[in-house]
Order: sequence, then structure tokens, then C-alpha cells
Amino acid sequence: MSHSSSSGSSSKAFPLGAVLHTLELSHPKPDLWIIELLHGVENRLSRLFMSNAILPALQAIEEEWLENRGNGAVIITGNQSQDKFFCNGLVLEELQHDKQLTSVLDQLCRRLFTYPLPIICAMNGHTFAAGLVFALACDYRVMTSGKAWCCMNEVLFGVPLPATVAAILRAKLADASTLRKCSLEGHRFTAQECLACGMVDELADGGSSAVLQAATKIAVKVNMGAKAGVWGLIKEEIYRDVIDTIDEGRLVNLSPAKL
Amino acid sequence: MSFPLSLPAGQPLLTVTHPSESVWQLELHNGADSRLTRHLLQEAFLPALDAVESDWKRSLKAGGKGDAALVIVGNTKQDKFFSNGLDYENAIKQADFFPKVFNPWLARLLTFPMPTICAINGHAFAAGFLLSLMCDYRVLTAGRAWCCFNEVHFGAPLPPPFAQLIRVKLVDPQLVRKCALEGHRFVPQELLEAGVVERLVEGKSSEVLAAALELAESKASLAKTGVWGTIKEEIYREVLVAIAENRTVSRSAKL
Repeated sequence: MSHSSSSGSSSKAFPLGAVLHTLELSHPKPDLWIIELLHGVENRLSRLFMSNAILPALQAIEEEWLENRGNGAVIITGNQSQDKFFCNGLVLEELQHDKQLTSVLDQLCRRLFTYPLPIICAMNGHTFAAGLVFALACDYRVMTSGKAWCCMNEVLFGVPLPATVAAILRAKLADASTLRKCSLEGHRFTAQECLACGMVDELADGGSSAVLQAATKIAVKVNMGAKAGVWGLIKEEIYRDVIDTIDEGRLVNLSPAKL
Repeated sequence: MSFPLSLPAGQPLLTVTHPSESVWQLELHNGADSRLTRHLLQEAFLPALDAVESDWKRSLKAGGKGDAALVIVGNTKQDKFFSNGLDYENAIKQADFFPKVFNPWLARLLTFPMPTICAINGHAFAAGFLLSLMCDYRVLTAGRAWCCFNEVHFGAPLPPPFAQLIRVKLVDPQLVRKCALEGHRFVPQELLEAGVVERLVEGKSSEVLAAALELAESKASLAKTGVWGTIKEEIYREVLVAIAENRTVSRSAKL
């Protein structure tokens, strides 16, 4: 699966040693890393994708950054060869027989909420359920202004929100009516609605590459936050409620009530 | 209780006055930029708060209305600074500074039993900005003053009570991010638009103080039923929980 990447040092593919790559990591400038998610077009979050691709890629970036400890930012974007999806959530079939799958999502979110570099999510398409949680766990969000929705649709197919997910929504959507609309009504937020309610920070006109471009502009503005080495520590305290909820590991009964 | 009361006796760092029946005023004058040293917090600020509270109770007992409000202002003999926060180098050398001095002072002022109005008469950095957020209301000079949590720039983690106070007072996630994570230098207009301050005041420190005193008079009746502080304890509970937990955050060795 080849696609254009910007000039600069060579890119790395994840999982390492795998035949089929689901993530490409590039380092186009000394202070910028780009994670392109390539798990199909929908980027469903499977256990393998999260533990063997996304988390190791984040680790590789941190280790590289630690060599110089200067300015730095990470962009996470969806499959750049299409313009329809960013991430559509967990692999539902997997969740049905792997009840621990949400714990892996928890650990991914914990990592994002304590990560030492600013993370910009370039939402280049539909962002549903765990995909929206993933985007909200990043520090900044830029979304296509086109026909793409953000939605927590669990209420519509009968799955309660795990405790962690509720904590993340509360942390990033402080307005009570937005929180209700998102978590309880399963509202499909258009890009414009996302901007208006603060769910995303900016919109970018155009397809995936335009969203990525906008994200690189944000990265330049915020990358000095990493330099003094306390970005992740400050995040951890602001979002203490999310971290504590993850660490508590309280399980919400995921089977719907018998009516 | 007789006012003016300058503390500590001998080498005063602040002065408390009682400009009207319902309003007390605390002026910091630890130099121009009123660093919040251990000495100032322990020997001046905490006793000053006790003095104000006990004077209010005395006037209640003597048949007064019970209206009360406290204005806190920086050094009014200059117009550049409100407070530049901690004497950071020394503060972090003392293992008991936050648990024994700073956090009790934070809790005391945050839950003080009468409306508190901060007259931000100049730059407010780090714990100086925090002090203004500990108060219930803020008026700010319209002039050249920045309010900023610059910890991210000089590499200090935010102590948990700082992070929780910023969260409960600023609330909006994007504003909290800008303030605590980006270490943004807010100019007065930005803070007015964000609703962090009630008013901008043209002129010198004396004008900012006058506006704060006016606001204080208008809020003082809220103290009289005696539950102002207790209500604050509940709505700002996360800050008190963070203080009680007493966790220290330190940079990891690898950094």
C-alpha cells in the first residue's frame, strides 16, 4: 500500500516484521512525527492494531524525541488514500468474544493522556464511537469541513459506555448539553457542529491531505510545549479524573438490560 | 482588632485595612512583585485572613448586619505587578512547603467564608495567577499586564491542587488547555472575553482597587447567612481532594 509521504527521513511500518502493515510512521522534520493509520479504510481498533502498531509507534517516537528533547509534536491521521473515514471504533466482532478489548483501549487512552508531546488528531473523515474517544484523547483536533460525522452511537445499538469513555467525554466536552447530546442521544455531529461545540478546534476545507496540512500548521504553533519536559505531567494532573478512572478498572456491565 | 494591621510586625509584607463597614482590604507589598514566600504565607497572609474573619465575627456579635467581603490587591505604589508567584527555587527545596504551608493557605483562601475579590493590578504569573483564581471574583487592569501559568515553559509540573483549581475555575476544556498546557500569556481583553474576570479597569492600581472595592460592596450581603465558605467547599471539592491526597508530581529521571 504505497502513498505519497513528504520528503525527509525514511518512514517506518508497523507492526514490525509483519506482512501486512497497518500503520506508517514518518518523521518529516526534526520536530514533527506523523502516524498514518492504515488498518483498512475504516481503521477499526482491534487488539492487534492498538497493541502492536499504535502503541509501539508512539513509543518509537518518544524514544527518538528523548535523544534531543527539543520541540516536538505528533499528528495522528487516518488513511490518506481516501477521504471518507478517520476511525470507526472497535472491531465489534472482536469485542463480542474478547471482553478485555476495552482495557486495551483504556491503555491506549492512558498513554495519549500522559504523552510527553502535543498530539494533533487530523480527522480526515467519519469518527465513530471508540474512534471519537481516540480523537478526544488527543490534545488537538482538526477535522475536514466536508461530509463527515462524529458520533457516539453506542446508545443506538445497545451498548453502555465504559467508565473510561464517560470520563473522557466529561473531560473534553464540559458543556452539559453537548455531553448529553453526544453520549445519550447518539447525535451525529456534523463538522460544523463539532467546531461550534468545541469538540474539534478547527475545520479544514478539502480532503485528507488538506486536513493533514492544517494539522501541521497547528503542530508548529504548539510543538514548543514539549521542550521543558512536563507536557505529559501537566496533562496527567488536569485529566486526573480520566487517569484515576482508567486505573480503577471499574467494569460497566456491557450487556444491555433485559427488558 | 485595630486597622491598619501590617504583618509580620517589624518587617511588614502586607497590610490589612477596613475601608467600610462591610469590606476588608489586604494589600500585598512584598517588594513590587509580591512573591508568595513561605514567610509571607505563614507569618502574614494566614494570620491576616484569621484577623479579617475574627473581626467580621466580632461585628456580628456586636449586632452588625453580617455583610462581609475581602479585597486582595498587589502593591498599589506601583502599577506593573500583581504577584509573580512563588520564590520557586526555595519553595521546591523544602519538602514540607506544599503540604505544611502552601496547600493549607490555598484551602483557607479558596473556602474563605466571605466573598473574595482580587484586584489584579499588574502581571500575575504562576502562583500569582493562581492566587487570583482562588478568589471568587476578579477585576483586572486594562493596561499592559499578562496572566500566565508559565510552568510548562520553565519545566515545572503543575502540582495537583493547581491543576484542579484551574479546572474548576476555568472549566472550558479548550481554555484549560490554553492556560495550563500551553502556558499562554493572557492579555486583559482575552480574560474578559473568556469570563475569567468581571471587569477591566483603565488607570493605575488605585483605580483597579476602587473597582474591586465597589464590586466587594455589591457582594458583601452574601456572607451574612454564614454558608458561603461551606458551599465553596463542595463546589470546589476536587481541589480539596487533591490537597488531601498530597501526591507529589516530579519529572522522571529520564528527562
